[in-house]
Order: sequence, then C-alpha cells, then structure tokens
Amino acid sequence: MLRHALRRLLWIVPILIGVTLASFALLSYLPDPADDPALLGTLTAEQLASLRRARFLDLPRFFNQKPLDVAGRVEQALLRIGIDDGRADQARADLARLGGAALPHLLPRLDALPPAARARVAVALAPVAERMGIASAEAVDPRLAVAFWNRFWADRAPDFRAASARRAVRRFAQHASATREGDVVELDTYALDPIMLLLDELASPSSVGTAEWAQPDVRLGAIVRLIGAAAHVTRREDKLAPSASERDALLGIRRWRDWWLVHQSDYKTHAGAARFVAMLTETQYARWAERALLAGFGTGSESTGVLQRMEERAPLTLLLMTSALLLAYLAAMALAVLGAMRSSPRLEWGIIGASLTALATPTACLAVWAMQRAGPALGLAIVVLTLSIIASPLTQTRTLLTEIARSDYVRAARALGYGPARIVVGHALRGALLPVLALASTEMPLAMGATFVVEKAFGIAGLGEETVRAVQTHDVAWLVGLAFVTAVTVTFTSIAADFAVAAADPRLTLASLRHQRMST
Amino acid sequence: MKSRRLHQLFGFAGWRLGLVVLAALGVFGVFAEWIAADMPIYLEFEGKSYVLPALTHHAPFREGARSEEIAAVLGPGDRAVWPLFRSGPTTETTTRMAGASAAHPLGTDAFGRDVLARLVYATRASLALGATIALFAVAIGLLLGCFSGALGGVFQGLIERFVEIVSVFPAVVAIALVRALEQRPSVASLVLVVTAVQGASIARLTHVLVIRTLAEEFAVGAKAMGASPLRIAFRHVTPHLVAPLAVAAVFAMASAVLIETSLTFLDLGVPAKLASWGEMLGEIRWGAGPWIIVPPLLALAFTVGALYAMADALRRAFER
Repeated sequence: MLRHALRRLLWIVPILIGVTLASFALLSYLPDPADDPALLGTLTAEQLASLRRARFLDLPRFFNQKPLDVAGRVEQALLRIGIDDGRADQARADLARLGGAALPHLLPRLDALPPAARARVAVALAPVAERMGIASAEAVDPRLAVAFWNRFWADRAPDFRAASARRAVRRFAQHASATREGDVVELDTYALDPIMLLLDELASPSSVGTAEWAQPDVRLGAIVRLIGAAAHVTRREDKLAPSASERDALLGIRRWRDWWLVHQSDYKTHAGAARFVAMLTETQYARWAERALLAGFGTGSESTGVLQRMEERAPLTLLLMTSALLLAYLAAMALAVLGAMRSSPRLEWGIIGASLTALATPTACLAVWAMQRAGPALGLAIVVLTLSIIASPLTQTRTLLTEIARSDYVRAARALGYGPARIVVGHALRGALLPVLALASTEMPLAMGATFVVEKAFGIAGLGEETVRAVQTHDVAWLVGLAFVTAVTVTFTSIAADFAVAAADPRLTLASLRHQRMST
Repeated sequence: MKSRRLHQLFGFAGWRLGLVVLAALGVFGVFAEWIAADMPIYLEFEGKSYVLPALTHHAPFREGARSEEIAAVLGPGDRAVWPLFRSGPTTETTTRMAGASAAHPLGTDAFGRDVLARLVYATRASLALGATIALFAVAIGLLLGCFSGALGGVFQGLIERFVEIVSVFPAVVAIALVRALEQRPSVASLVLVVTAVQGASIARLTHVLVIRTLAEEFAVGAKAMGASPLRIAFRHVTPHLVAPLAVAAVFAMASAVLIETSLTFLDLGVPAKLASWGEMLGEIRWGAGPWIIVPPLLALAFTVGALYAMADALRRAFER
C-alpha cells in the first residue's frame, strides 16, 4: 500500500511538468504586449528591449544552442567597439552596464587588442570606474585610460575571484563599515552573484535560527545593506529604507530575485558543465517555469504574491466546492440506493428525469434565479452548486448500483432471504464505494468551472473572481499556480481515497487499485 | 450496425419520439433563413431574380441591410417573398428588453435583437456544434480508451498521463486562454477544448469498459483463437460499448452549450458573433428576463431528452 502511494506521488512529477508545458505552450503564443502598435510609438528601442527581456522573449523557446553569458557579451561588445560602426555606442553602454563582472574577461586581453580599439574600450569603462569610486582624470583620457586599467588589474586581479568576492560580501553583510563597503563597491557587478546568493540565504526561514543571523536587526540590516549595494552597482532605484520592516525586506528580496532571474546571464559566467546546463536553462520555458515554481509562483501582475492571494481566497472556494461535492455524492447515492431497492420503473424514470434536468440546467441561470429569489447566502450557494454538478454522480452511481444489483453475490444474498434494504446497504453499497470514492476525488477540476459561476452570481470573493481577472490580463503566474494547486490536490485526495478504500476492503491488492485508477 | 438492429430500434417509442423531436429542431435550424431574416426568401429586383439572397450574398443591397430599408427601395414592378418574421439574428433595434409583440413574438434582448430569430439561428449553431463535439470526443475517447485498455503497459501510462493533464484545467479557463490566442474569436477554440475535455473523460470510461469486457468469455474465446488484443478491442468489444458511449455523447453535446453559457456569464473572452443557445442563456448576465432564457432552456432540455431517449433505445436494442 505504501509502495502504491509512493508510486502515485512520483507520478505527480511528470503530470506537473506536463501542466507547465501545456500552460507554457498556450501562453507563449499569447499576443506580445510589445507588439501593440499603440505602445510601439511611445517606447524607445531600449525600453522595448527591456520589456521583451522581462518576458524572456530574447531567448529561444526550449533549447539554447549558444547560451550567452558575460564572457559572450564582452566578446560581442569588443567586436562592435573594434569596428566602431553605428552600434558601437550601444556596445559601450552594454560594457558599462556589465561592469565589474566583465573585467576578468576583458582586462587580461586588453593589450591584445589593436591600439585604437584598446583606447576606445578603456574609455568606455569610465562609468565603471566612477561606480567603483576610483574615478580619476586618467580614466576618461584616451591616452591614459589603458594604462589606468592595466594598473588596476595588476593590483586587484586577486579580488576578482569567486571565493574572495563571496568573503567580501559576507563580511560587509555581517558588519557595516566604510572599508568593507568599499571592498564590495570596488567589485562592482562582480559582487552581484554572491549578493544574490546571500540574499536567498537570508530570505529563507532557516537562516533565522542560525547563530550568525540570530538577532533580527542584524539580519534586517544585512538585507538593507546588500540591496543597497546591488542597487548602487546596477543603477536601479529599488532600495530599502534603513527602517524597513521584515515584510518590506522580504518583498524587496522577492523583487530583486525576480530581476536577477531575468538579468543574471549578464553577470554570470558559464564554465564547464554549467555551460551545458545553461543550454537548457537559458530558454523561455525554463526561465518561465523557474519564475512560476521556485519563486512561489512569483507575483504575477499584482503586488502581492500568487501563493499569498491564493491562501486568502482558496478556503472559501474549497469550502463551497467540497461541501457541494459531498452533498452531491450523498444525494446521488441516496437516490441510486432508493432506485436499486425498489425496482419500480416509475421511480427509475423519475431519477433519470431528475439527472437529465440537472444536466440541462445551466449553472448561471439557476444561480442568478436563486440569488434574485433569496438573496446572497452561502448555504444557498452550496445548494445551487450541488444541483448543478449532481448530474454526473447521479448517472454514475445509478449505473454502478444497477450493475451490482445483478451480480452473483447480490443474487446469493437474495437467495438467502435477505430483505432489499439489507442487500443494498450491506452488500451492494460496499461494492460501489470504491469506484464512487475514486470518482469523487477527480470530479474537482470539473466542478471548478461551475464553482466560479456560482461565486460570481452570489458575489463571493473566491478563486473565481481572481481567475477571471487573470485570464483577462494574461496573468500567467496565477493560472499556472491554479493548475498546479488543482493537480496536487487531486492527486492527494485520490491517494487518500485509495487508502480509505483499502481500509474498508482489505482484499484489495495493488493491482486492482492500479486498474481502478483509470476508472476515475 | 446490422440492419436488423436498425429495424429493431424503430420498435422503441423512445427512439421514434427522440427522432421526431430532433428532426423538428433540425428543421428549424436548416430553414432558419425561411423563418426569420432581413433578406427576402425570393426577390425580383430591377428585372433580376434572386433566390435566398441571405445565403448566396448576391443581393443588390449592402450586407446587414434592414428589412424595412429593403422594402422601401422596392419599386412597383419588384416582387419579394418574405420569411415568416422580418428580422435577422444580429439586427439591433431600439426596442430593448421588450416583451412579446406582433413584430417580435418572443420579445427582444438587451441589444434589441429579436429573440425568436436568435433562437432559430442558435438552434442551427448549437446542434451543429454539439454534434461535432460529440462525434470527435467519442472518436478520440474510443481510440485512446481501446488502445490503453487493450495494450496496457507504456500505452496505458502515456494515455493516463494525457487524460490527467487535460482534466486538471478547468475547461472554462482553458477556453478563455485559447480565445485570447486567436486574432478573431471563433468557435474553433470551443470545439477544440470541449472535445479534449470530453474526449479525455470518454477515454477513461472506455478504458474501464474495455478491461472489463476483455475478461468476458467471448473475448477470452477470441484470444484463444489467436486474435490480437487490438483486434479483440475494436472488433469484439466495441459493439458492447455502444450504449454507454451513446450516453456519454449526450453529456458531451450538452456540455458544449453549458460551457458556452458559463463563458458568457463570466465575461471570459469575446464571444463569437454567432448566436447560440449558450450565448443566449449567458445573457442572464445583463439581467435578461425569462422570455429570453426560457426558449433556449427548453430547446436544450428537449434536445437532451430526445438524445437520451434515443441512447436508451440503443442500449436496449444491443442488450437483446
């Protein structure tokens, strides 16, 4: 039994991957907001590029043959500055943006460049020197800039190593002082990778318990300082006030993490195996899935996180849906038992008529009508939802019980002289429980559409309202989150149903459960 | 199906009744232009004659011309044979949300469109849509279910996963997303998604039925004769699936209308321009009165009832 449950749990992984693939395929073909002609006129090429980049439209869909890292970007920029054509200005700006992270790939080969290009490149780095706080007249003078940067590299090359950068950032986070800040600022964007790693560590709840960050104000101070340093080297305005609260700090980290997800390839080097990993991760799908899954489904188009919004709204929807499902199945079982106990054709046709009427009545009409008659009430909403989803349980349980009523063991019970009530309740119902339980556990996604409609009609602020908004504004994160939560819930409820059934009937083996699974 | 069985079917009152009701609805749908339209059925205008200009689009008037405008330009020598009611399904007038009158026997809706005209055209659209969806869903479901039930193993695993992935998305949301992809909203998205959802649930049903039927004596006999599992599934097992699949097809047909109602009600995606039962029922969003809601409701109920009666007759014919 445990093996069975584990197997089912493992199967959830391909299902979830399938769900993300399906939603990605759908959403990646949605019209690009940057294609909107009204918008195109008002934006500069740069703004457009950053808009597209935020949606990962600069990456290939599923496989990246040549993932671009900071070394690759430096290469491109050098080429353009060397030719000094129309795009050289853009390349200079790129180089200034790449900053410190580009230096280890750039400065050692500065002397190998042709003299004219060498001077142009060195001057292009002037904004970097300014950010580092080492700006001088030399850095902007074409004749002296090369010597300036050569000297810089001779002095500082040992600092531009992953281990020492990590150490500098950690020291700066632990305790604020001008020297330590200077150490980090001089690394410029080279410090971004360790800063983001440390921010991740600080954001996780487990960091609260460690001795290093035990005091809350030390931890908060570190977050504020790290974000301040990141904002300084990237020239982004997104900083935290020194008096920031815990919540502000976490939100700030989330915003920076989101930015990092989009821009990290500007500052990181893919070396060795990381290069092959990058072929898969530097793609639209991987980036998108990473944002959707790892970042708690991200923030979507709202300021609060998807998971948080879901936590607020899900209880009401779940209450509505589960109670309606429960009621529907109980009522369906009761009616089906009644039909099976007395084999009167009139009753049977009555039940069929009831299920057909329920099938042909649109939820929206029923809900609006009930709302107009009796006003908003949760109980009424549950009843309406029950009526609108009862059709399929009713047909299913009826077929099941009629089939069971014809089986050998029921015939044997009848031959032994048991009354109809005892046969149905004591024997037939037990046999029907397994398929019905399994059925009920998968009915949830089907009932969801009807739940949304009832929520709208009764003005209940559940998942439906938010989902409608998400579809209208193409809020990817919410929709994937919804599909995910549904998939996980369905799997867990059906595993629970399997356990319940196995408890009720110890004869059941793994094989029979596996067979029954499809029957849901 | 053997002709003997077909002959037997007519012995059931349910089959005959269902056929009559469906045929009546079908006549409404097929002859929509004869019942309500802005264009005449037959027109002699300036020496030329036109038959059913609303369909052929050869009329000398602009598209969407009102019947009064056409009547006004007719000279003394021109002749026109008008349909029963002179208003099309998309013609908007200023008399909004009005009750029954001589010009509009079923009243008008929130845009001043004639409800009867919409009902007639909606019958055509919804019946065609429902039939398409039911047909495709049953075909897909039968194929997948038979393969997974008869072959098992990897096939079963793959098909199971497909079915589970499809059934995780609420259908309403999926259609809304597909609609967002389309340049112009069409019924294709509805057909695609509802077919997938219904096909998946029919595949589940078929799978179980196939496994169950494979254990019966005739299937074991066929296996002993050396028939392959797929041959047994399609040749010997399928006839036993007709009855449950017919019922499933009725559900699939109804669900197309119901999902469209939910879509319109939830304001998800631009509805296609077509008039359909689902779209009419969804007008309850604007507080449509019973005169708009009840006709499509009755039409849907009659269709479902008729189809179920026929499916039931089918089941009995195959049980004999």
